[in-house]
Amino acid sequence: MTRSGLIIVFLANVWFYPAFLVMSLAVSPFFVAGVVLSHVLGGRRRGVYWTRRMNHMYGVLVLLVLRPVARIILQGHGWHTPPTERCIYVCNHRSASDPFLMAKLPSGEIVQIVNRWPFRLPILGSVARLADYISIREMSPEQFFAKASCNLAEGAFLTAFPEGTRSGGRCLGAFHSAVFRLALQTGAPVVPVAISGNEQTPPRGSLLLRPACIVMSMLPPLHAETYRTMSPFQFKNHVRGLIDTELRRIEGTT
Amino acid sequence: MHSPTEADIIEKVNDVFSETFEIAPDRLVPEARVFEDLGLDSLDAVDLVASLQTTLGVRLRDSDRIRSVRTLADVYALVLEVKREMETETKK
Repeated sequence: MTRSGLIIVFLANVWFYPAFLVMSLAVSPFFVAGVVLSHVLGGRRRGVYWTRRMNHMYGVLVLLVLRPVARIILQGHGWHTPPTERCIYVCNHRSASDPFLMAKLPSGEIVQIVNRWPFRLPILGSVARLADYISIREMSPEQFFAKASCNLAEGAFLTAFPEGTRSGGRCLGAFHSAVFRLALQTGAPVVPVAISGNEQTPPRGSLLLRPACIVMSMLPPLHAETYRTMSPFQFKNHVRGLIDTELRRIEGTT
Repeated sequence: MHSPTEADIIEKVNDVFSETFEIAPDRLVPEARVFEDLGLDSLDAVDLVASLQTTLGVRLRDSDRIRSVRTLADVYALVLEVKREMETETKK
């Protein structure tokens, strides 16, 4: 890396982490009050609903703080109008910044389907539990299908990273089939989202942010009538193929 | 009834992979890793076992050896082994 590149990386991190900390500390009293009040006054369902909405708002604030470091470009349709049906957003996964990028989705009540590790993070793990996110590795397939179907029936949108772990680079890993089986069971539309450019923001195994231009491209929803004749294996690979093609288009590698 | 040869088993197992998962025949080489190279996950493996049981008439679900399968060659070997065990039991 050149000297000017190092200075830019240094400045990006000197800006982001203190600003992230200050912003988080500033909003945390409102967040805690909101979570407690909604649980006490509205019961568990309203409490979970408002925790999810507040997580979404917190994500929006994190992206605001990130703005000097990473420019985010939205492509495709559906960013400003929530889908009329509850759907499952399926994204590729390159970086730890991906869950925060979900704040760009138009839908308010979002349930993230995550691996074990986000639940083990201090503070953010507790927030994920309060929001009743789905830790897919900590439940049986039957428990996952029951819980996720219930979330869709209650009106929540789901987000999933079917690679299961960060690829860390520009390659796209193999997809797990659980969310596609869920779609086949429930008939929920699946919306593929290709995310490019954040593989170094931060890179896997590091907290050092590199300035980036992140492109998020939302592809047209796949409705039940288009996928119901597919097997789960075919369906997951079909969606993987769509995301892979879109990533190649964005990155000019077709 | 003649007992199936290794070639018969390989052909039938490959048919299961082609029909159930639509994997191109040229990818079905013995050294292909079932999870990494062919893209199956644990839930797909359940579908695979069900398809193998239906197509080949073998009882794999109860076999602990299914957990040690890594490559397509392991699948061939497991099916062949279980098939032979079943034949031996029938003869007794």
